Amino acid sequence: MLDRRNPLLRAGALLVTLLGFAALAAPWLAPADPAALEDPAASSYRPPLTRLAAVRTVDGRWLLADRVARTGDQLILTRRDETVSLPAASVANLAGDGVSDTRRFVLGSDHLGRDVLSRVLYGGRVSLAVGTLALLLALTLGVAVGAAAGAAGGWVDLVLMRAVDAMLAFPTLLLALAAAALLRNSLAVLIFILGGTAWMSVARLVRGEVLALKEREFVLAARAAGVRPLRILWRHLLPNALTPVIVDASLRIGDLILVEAALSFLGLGVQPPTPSWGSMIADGRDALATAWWVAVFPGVAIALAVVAFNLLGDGLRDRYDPRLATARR
Amino acid sequence: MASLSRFVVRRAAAAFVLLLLVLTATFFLLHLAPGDPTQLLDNPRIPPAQRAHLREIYGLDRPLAVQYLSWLRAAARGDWGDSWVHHRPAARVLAEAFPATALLAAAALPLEAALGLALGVAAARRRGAWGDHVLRTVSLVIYALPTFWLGLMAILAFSVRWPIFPASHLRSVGAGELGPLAAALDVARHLALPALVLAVTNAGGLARFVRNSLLDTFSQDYIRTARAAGISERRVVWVHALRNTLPPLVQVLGLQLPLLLSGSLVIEVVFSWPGVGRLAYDAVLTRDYPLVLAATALAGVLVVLGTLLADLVLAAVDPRVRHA
Repeated sequence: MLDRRNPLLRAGALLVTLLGFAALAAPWLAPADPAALEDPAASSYRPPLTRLAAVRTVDGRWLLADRVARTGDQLILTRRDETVSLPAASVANLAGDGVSDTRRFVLGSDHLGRDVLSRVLYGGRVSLAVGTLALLLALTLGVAVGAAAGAAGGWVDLVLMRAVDAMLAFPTLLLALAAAALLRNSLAVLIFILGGTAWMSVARLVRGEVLALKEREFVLAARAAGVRPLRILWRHLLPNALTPVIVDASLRIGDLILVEAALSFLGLGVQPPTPSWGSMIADGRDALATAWWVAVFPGVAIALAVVAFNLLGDGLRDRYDPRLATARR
Repeated sequence: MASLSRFVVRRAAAAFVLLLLVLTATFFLLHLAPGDPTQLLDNPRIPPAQRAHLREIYGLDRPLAVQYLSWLRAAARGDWGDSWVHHRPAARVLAEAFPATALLAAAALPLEAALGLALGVAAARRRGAWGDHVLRTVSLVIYALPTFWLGLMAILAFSVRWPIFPASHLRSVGAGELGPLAAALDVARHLALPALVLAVTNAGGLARFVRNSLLDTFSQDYIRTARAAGISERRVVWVHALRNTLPPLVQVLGLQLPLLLSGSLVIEVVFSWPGVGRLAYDAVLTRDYPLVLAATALAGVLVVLGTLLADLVLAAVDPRVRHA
């Protein structure tokens, strides 16, 4: 992985690792609860780098304010354009002339006053998990169908590959749209839709590899030695066909993340309150003119993730695809 | 040419079977999913009896197999049924939306091809050098940008901050009063952002494809021979090498044709473009079964036509394909 002559691979591996870490560690990295609704009246649509004082009342409510000042036994809260005064006795976190807690919106806040940075981090968990699981599903289906077609040959091959052609010709997005609209409200359904529309090219790839490998001497030798066909497939054909499949998979996951984002943007993917990058952009669409940050940052996150996986895939291909390696010299 | 026409007939027959499969799958997906269109009328002021009556009118109370057969029989006659939302023939509703989508695609495809080719060829010619890395990164980044997000950013930049272009729809209010030239200009201004966004995001993938297949070609002997013969590098790239990357490119662009139409769905939603994509999206949300099925048929026909067109060009260019 840390090949000096392959900066693509290094950059891609580094970015993917960072993204994976950010997604896994979201609960520790995120400054706030992504679904927390704290005083939306004062905290909605705050621009990036906003810092608000957080006043905790004795009955446990949080009030957010731009500024807090103390005059006698009253606490004066400046909330946007209005000022509210509160008896100091009703505040639980008094400290000097103000309060001891603050809320910081590094990437701004959305229409409900939720922290965009925290939601981008948590949204990354959802988007990456859905993309990865859909990819695993596509790989499982694709490898099974492709290996069966390639190894069995004859009419099995013919039937399976015609089915693959048929699936490839389906208007994927429309189909995914219909399925998502009709069977909505579940991450599992979303993963099945994404994986179910992405396995066909894996199957083609695996079939091609298996067909080529079948004629190689070590496979012929195994067959001549009387090794059973299933064992040949499992021990000789599949392990050798795996490299191109892995390279292809690392390029494909970016597409899956993009389709998931599009479906979620259209309101048919991940459902609220679960944050996902696509649905966050949809939230930001309504306030594009006044609160650009709500839509901008999740889009940057999507682009970053897709770039990262593609760099990794390109790097892997440069390194493991012998055809390109010779073309390079 | 006899072999070519046989090729077309064979492909058309396969395409027909395929289309039938797609439509059948969509039909059952729609009807087997929980709920039906009358649930949109799910409000206490509409008595259940009336809902039942509506289901009867739509024919939803009949056995599924009967519904399927009667729909199929009508569709075979070219009758796609009335849209339940628009209360007009679904085929006509689609036909009215089609020009807007076709216009968007017609504007975006040449832009995409030009941009993708330019980026891909430029990167391939500088293989391994600085310029290659920069151009590859540019292609990768524009490929990675979600289309709908880039659309929103374009609106933010060019409709909100610097209001140069309108953010939505195909015409201005009152465009009917304009003369023909002013009206065309008005449409062009509305077309600019969606077409550009669509072209740019698609060009990223195309550029990557062009670069990689050109590099494959560069390693072949005949290119070395051409270079050795003293043919100018420009000619080697644009004439000798590019011609051999043309067949796969034609196939990719052929597959892009339906993608531009169904794939512009998200862009149509973002820019409130009155095309087929947005219509299909609304139809799915309102469960307008006849319209969804008609739109799926249209998308399927376009996929089939796109591949067929690409195959035909390919067969005309490459005799091996014809005789396969």
